[in-house]
Amino acid sequence: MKGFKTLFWLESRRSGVWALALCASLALWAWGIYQARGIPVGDRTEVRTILLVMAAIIGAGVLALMVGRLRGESRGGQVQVLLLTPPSGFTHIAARLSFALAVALVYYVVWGALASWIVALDGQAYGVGFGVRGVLGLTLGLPAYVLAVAVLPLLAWTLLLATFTSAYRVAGPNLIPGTVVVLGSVIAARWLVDGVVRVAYSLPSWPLFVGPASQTSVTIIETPDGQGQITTAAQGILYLPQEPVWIGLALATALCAVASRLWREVEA
Amino acid sequence: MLATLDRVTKRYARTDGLRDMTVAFPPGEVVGVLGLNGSGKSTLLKLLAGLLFATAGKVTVFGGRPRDRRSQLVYLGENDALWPWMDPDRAETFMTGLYADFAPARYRELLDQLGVPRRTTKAMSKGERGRLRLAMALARNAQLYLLDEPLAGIDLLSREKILQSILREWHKDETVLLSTHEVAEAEGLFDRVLYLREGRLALDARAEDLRTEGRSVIQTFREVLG
Amino acid sequence: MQPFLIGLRVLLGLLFAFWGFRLWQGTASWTARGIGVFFSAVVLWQIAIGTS
Repeated sequence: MKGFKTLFWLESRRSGVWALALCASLALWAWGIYQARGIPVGDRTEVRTILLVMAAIIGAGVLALMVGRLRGESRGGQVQVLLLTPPSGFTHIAARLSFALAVALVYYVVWGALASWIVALDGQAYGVGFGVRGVLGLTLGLPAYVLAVAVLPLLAWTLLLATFTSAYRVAGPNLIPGTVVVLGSVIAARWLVDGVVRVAYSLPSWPLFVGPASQTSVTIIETPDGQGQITTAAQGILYLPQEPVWIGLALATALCAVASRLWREVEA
Repeated sequence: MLATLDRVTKRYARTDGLRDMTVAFPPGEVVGVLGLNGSGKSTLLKLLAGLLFATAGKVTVFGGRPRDRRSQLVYLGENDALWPWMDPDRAETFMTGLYADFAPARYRELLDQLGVPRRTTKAMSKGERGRLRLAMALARNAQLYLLDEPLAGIDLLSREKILQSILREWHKDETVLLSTHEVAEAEGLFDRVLYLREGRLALDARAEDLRTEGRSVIQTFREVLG
Repeated sequence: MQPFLIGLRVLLGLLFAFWGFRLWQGTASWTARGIGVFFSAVVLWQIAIGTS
């Protein structure tokens, strides 16, 4: 698709600086993880893990902002130009999402490498070693999981939000569309997460190899409704439920389909 | 008929853009859309382009919904904008990649004719940006051109030159709708003139007929809309 | 405390019902209308069932 290629190029020029800045910011997190070597062993891993989690969340947030700048564009008049280009709404949405996904892939793979690094640095203390399978698991497997479960749906949702609010640009109510969707989404997300947790582990779970361990450890995660979920880290293996992946992918697809449909019906 | 409006009304949140307008455009006409600000000129062109949808009535372009025909028409809006990092070369990449009827050779000719500088739009004046967008629009080979105040922001000295360029571009079977509120320039430019007032069609006249009656476009403008 | 909370919930409910209505009116797009109504309904439902 010629149109897709050009729209992807447009997106890369439009958001290239964001993408580079985001990926460069990983150096900051790496520095933080390195600096944590001054902290006593017990807290050190906790701090490093918190930094890692923050890097994941902030990364997703920045990606969402990068993808969702339609509001600025409709004020700037570029949406008018885009709406009248021949490619379909789906092509427009797909091009934006694809670029964001490509950036997300780079970001989260490096992030996964940071996770491997933390295991390499601190694993000995917990009897977790460092091997090729572990590195691959953390650098490729975990990012792919995070992308499918959280990042992709978030990006698709952001595109839907951006397209939805631009559907009201002509008419007038300015903050209402965004407020209703954001609030409604937060509520719906809570229900969704509750539902996902309830069905998690019904299907066989996927082993994420973290590294050979000399002892078996058991982690128990409490769910909001009180049903405990047990994730065993036996022999350095973390078992990830596969349901969130399918639900995440299905959700992202549905949100994209709706956003594409909306694109056709937006006025400018 | 290339395009028609059948009893079209466009209602906004607080005002009406167009009220119950019926008009048809056959191929091969250069039509001037004249009126004061807020008279509905932009609304009319946007409805034909498919950027807006009618609240009531039906807009038909090339026999179908305007938005579905967007690859066959050219729309140049007053509030269109390019991206600040775009320059004429990147604009060419943009157009070549998205429009099958875009002619790069003609585009470069137009860039020279219109005197578009080779800078990013961020570094251009409003007039230069307008000329770039005009070059992008006119370099396409379409049957219907919808130009909304294409000369806004272009200095008086260049306008004459540019209007002549625009005139030279037209072929017999192409239809052009050009809106302007600089009525003085309209003399001799259009085959047909639509006068819009408060969202309604106040007068739809052939320039020839006006001339036979000894009236000028400006005179008629003042009479009809004054 | 109870009557206050109930009053608050009624007010919020009315607000979001009104906003849902405005979202319906404010666009010609049926897809946008569907989305607006859906999310308004989600918020209204949450207000109705409270923070259980």
